[in-house]
Amino acid sequence: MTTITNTKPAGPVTPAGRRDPRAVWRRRLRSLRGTAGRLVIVVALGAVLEWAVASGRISQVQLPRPTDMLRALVEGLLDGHYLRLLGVTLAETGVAFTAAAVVGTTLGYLLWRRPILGRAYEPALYALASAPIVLLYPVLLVVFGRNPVAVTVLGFLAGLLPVLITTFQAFQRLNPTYLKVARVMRLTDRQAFLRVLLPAAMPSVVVGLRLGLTFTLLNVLGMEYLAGIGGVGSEISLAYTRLRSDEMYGALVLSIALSVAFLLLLNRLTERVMRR
Amino acid sequence: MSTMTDHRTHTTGALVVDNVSKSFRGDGGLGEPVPALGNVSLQVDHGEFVSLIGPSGCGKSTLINIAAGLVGDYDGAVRIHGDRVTTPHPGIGMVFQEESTFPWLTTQQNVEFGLRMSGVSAKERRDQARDMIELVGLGNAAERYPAKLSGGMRQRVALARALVMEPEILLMDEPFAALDEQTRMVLGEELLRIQSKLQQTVVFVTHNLGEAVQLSDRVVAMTARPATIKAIVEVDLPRPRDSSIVSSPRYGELVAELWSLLRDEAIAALGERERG
Amino acid sequence: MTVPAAALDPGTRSNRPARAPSLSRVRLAGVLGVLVLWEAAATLFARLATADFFPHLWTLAAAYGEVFSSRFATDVALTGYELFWGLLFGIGSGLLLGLALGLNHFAREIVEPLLVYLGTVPKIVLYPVLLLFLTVGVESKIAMAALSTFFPVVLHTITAATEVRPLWLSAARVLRASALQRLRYVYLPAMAPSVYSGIRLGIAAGIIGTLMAETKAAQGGVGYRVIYYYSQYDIPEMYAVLILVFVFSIALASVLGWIGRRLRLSDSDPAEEGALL
Repeated sequence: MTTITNTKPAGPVTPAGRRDPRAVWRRRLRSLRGTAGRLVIVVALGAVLEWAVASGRISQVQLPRPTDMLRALVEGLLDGHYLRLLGVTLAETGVAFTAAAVVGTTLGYLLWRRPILGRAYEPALYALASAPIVLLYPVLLVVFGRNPVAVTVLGFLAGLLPVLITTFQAFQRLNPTYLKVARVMRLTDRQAFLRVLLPAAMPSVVVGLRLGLTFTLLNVLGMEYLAGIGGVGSEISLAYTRLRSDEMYGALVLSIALSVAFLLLLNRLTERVMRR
Repeated sequence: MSTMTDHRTHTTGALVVDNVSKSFRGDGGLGEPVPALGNVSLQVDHGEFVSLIGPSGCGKSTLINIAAGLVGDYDGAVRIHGDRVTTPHPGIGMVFQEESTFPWLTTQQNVEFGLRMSGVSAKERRDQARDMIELVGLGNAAERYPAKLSGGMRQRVALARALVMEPEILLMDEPFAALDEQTRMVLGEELLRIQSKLQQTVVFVTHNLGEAVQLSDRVVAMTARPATIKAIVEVDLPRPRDSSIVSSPRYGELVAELWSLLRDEAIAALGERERG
Repeated sequence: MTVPAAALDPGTRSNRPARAPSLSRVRLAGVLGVLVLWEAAATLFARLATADFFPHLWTLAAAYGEVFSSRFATDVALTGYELFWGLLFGIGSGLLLGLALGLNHFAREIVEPLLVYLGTVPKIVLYPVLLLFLTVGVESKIAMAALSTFFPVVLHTITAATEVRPLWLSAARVLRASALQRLRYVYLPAMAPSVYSGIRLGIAAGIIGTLMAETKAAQGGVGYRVIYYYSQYDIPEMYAVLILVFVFSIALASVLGWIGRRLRLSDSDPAEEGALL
């Protein structure tokens, strides 16, 4: 049997697949340089602020020393207070996102399966996606009371639309040739959905889920702060009214760290799903 | 036109096209019907390799899609085993011009796909797929994902995926159109080798004159829209063939003959496109 | 847009009846459905007596009388004033830093991830810091609007600068375009779409930021008015103002989107519109 090796184009076959060790090293070095640079910036900024506060150029009330912020953060973590707050925020986010993911993907799929609905309501969905959902928080306070349930519902509403819209679009933009393949192979509807449509739509759906989770966390933290209920966000508001600026900044650093940790985690997870 | 096939000994071909016509409506189904295919009759015998060739935009893809059962609503009859085709017949396999390999499956899994859907046991389908992957020359790429394969390799995967189902009739809709010339030549040669081994009936749509002559027993030249059969050219080149055939004088004569048949049609099709 | 079978078979499509009227009928049904559901909820909750958080539609309509007879125009003017300056500062600084980073590889490599990280933080939690440094007056709102606007603008401007392909610049140079001409005919058109969507998102983010800040601590403004009615338990009035805010936001987004399409500045993914806190 003739072999095909001679027909394999040499260059572009496996641009991502082949690992050139030197390129890998160069990339690692660059990312290391970036991290180091960012570390320098953050530390330098901290040092300048430390000096500005210590020398009285900035009032201690407006901005505590960065070292005091860190102390408040560490104390809060050690005595378990911050962990409880984190637990509340994560629980709200988790429940809200799970609901948004389930409802959003289901509705997105149904909207595609019933083209008349998709065509009729697509513009309305896009319009709603640009609406300031977070401003509904007073309404939710009225309806659900001042408790984490209200925060969770806002997180759900905020995460729902991106999931719904991307799912709908993912199915809409499916490669039509896949559908032809499924028909020529005489797949049952169930097989076609589970084995062809779903895996084909999956990468885009994952992007939507990622977006939804980000929105949910943003809105949960935002409402916690605005309404002063729930977890980490509320602590910022409460510390402010207690006039404890070190605790306020501690909680602020905590919520920034939480957001960034989510981003990094999501990057990791989606990278894993997208690899191929 | 069907008289041209009358000298053939058997009257029941593998694929019988009997007076098939088809019109499309533009403007989302509201416009005037535009005829795409006008009274086409053709008989393809068992084990025969027939190419459909014509100006781009003529109805040759429509005809092969009707034969595949992807277009159920047409006039006349395409028959396989005497049954009028309206949905995909179990005896056909199809290779598309567009990207049709599933990016979430490896080469091996892609080729196993159809077997898996029809409930073949894991061991059996692994072996069958393995053999087919060897046959199309992808033995060392079985565990790779399509993203790590070149366009030509992906079309080999698509070919293997169709062939592993042991179709009586293989329908190929411009399968090599997106590939570069050299890859195309080599894949054509491979296709000839595989077909002579498996004795498939092949209907091959192309707009490449040389490719049609290189591969086929008969070349069906079609007119511009609405497509009718202008002439059927017997390719009397000896078999087995390889790509060196392109340097034989007879090859050049046949290509020239096809071009003289198609020249006016191609110009007519171009004019129509520029007008419309 | 269609179910698989129909998508593959133009034949079935050709037999389909005209469906433009049924589309508007589906939409009408949707709107009516929402209104009927709302009324049903209003009636139901009115029976339960305790709560009036689903006011009847006529109560809601009547609430606009109360809203407009108050000093609502003053609130709108104040929010408008804060927004004007906030957007100006936010867009200006975003463009400047975005350009600087976009054109400098080394700086971008280090700073861009930092901006991306901070971009995922809900900016409103930084509001107490602004309150400590500025006052409860307009300054803190302007700063909040600027901060919210800044991030989408700077991130999109950096992206825009990287979208200018070196090949285009070489081609322009070979065609003897001067530096100024390259700026006008290569950089500008290549960067415009991404910068425009950054500004569009930035404006939306600025509006949300300002209104949120006003609900938290303010002496006036549209957001203040929402939270005022909330604290007075004037629920219909609160809804009335919120509906105005939603209608305005959606209308503005559509207008900006329309302008973008009109100027052939591509539009961003609608699903991403909400990342604005």
